[in-house]
Amino acid sequence: MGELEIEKHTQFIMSVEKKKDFDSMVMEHLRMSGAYWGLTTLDLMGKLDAVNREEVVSWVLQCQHDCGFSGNVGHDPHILYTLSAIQILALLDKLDTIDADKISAYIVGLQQEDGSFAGDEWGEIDTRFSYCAVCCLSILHRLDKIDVGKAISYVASCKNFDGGFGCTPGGESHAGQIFCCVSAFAISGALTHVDRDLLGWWLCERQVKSGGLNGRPEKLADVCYSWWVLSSLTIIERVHWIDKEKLKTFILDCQDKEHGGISDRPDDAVDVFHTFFGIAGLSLLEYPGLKPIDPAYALPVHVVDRLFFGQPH
Amino acid sequence: MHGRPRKSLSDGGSQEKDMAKAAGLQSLQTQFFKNHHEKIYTKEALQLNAKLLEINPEIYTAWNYRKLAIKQLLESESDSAVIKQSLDEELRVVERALKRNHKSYGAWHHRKWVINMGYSSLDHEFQLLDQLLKADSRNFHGWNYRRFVADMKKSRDEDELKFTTKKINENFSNYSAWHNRR
Repeated sequence: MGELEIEKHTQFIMSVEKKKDFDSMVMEHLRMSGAYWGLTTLDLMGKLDAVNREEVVSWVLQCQHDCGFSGNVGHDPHILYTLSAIQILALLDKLDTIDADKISAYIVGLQQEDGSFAGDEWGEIDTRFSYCAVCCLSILHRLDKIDVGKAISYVASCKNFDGGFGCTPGGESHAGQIFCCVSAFAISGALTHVDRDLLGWWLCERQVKSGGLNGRPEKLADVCYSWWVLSSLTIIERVHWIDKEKLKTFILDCQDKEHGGISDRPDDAVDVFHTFFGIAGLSLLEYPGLKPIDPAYALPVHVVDRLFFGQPH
Repeated sequence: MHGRPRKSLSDGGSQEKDMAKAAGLQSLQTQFFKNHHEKIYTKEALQLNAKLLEINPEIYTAWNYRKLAIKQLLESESDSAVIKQSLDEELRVVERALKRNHKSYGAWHHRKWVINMGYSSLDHEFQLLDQLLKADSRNFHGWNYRRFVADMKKSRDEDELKFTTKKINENFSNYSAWHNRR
């Protein structure tokens, strides 16, 4: 199974930013999330000092609009990248560089009558955006600015017969959406909406023969589900329902030991998305040498502690 | 990001091709963002945008631009035949984008946004969905969109139940089909 190649992964993450190939270019619109994945991974590995924090903050602020943050300079704002920006600033302890009231007002403006959240002014509704809203506002200590009751009722209305959650009411259960809904409940103190045994069973059934986890029945295992499934199981205290050693082996087998980075499954192309979720998954599995990660905020525990128990804001 | 084999770095020839492709995309993007920031919605600008979305349907700002163009059209045009023609072109742009990535959130949302205007044929949507769910019967974007269109058409529950039964007969383990019977 081998070890986690921390030095190789550090080099890989530092190199991602400089790539100008086609596959990197098609990801430019989500650079804010890419930066969040890369920086958080570096911190989990204890390597965040490799980064020039001032440069990062300066770039993040270039993506700030009157309302929210965009995925890259010149792109339109969206709640997804607003969360990633806030997570980056929280990680770097630079939340004082933004106007929290302005960001909150943007997110409040995206809440709909039924409690759901749109991603931006164009109205796409998805429980991913409910999570973004709740997580972001919680980090900014302004969760009370939205109608939390309605936000939670909407998420609860997306619950399915199998205990899982989908994008919208009636949407099929999917591990990514389940993470968003369960984390939104956890952050809002509303985990009573989750049937822990029923959902725990659906989630632990995601583990396949190889030890990896898939996102829905009959699908292929994928390292990113090491996060979506595992964090959900951790929150509902059912992580012992999967075989942790087999999952660890699967994640480690997805490493590119020569060039660094982690892929969705063994011998596939690596990327920073799967590198983050693989290492975040290993952190939840308490792999030695990694800092602990908070399963709901998807930030290192020391960052969440600083936000809620640290210096006054 | 998913399901792509790990490439060796030594293939110089394909690296050159790739950099040329990247340069082409960069040029399209630069021009598009100029049009977007200067609010230029000419036929040529929209064609350039469509070309960009066909290569990369994930550029969400490019879908926003198309909505802004349509909004501008609706403000100045009252002939519903002209509006329908423009919206049908939007649906064609989405179809081409979905061929590139049938899981593109941006493409699916743009389609829903257009259909919600009420000018387009819902029967065509069912035909498109039949093809798509035949190619990937677990595509949850397709299934979500099907529920949206069925609701808009006020389809009978029996008809939707019949569709899910057909999918289950094709593959008993189709969890998406079972889920959509609720």
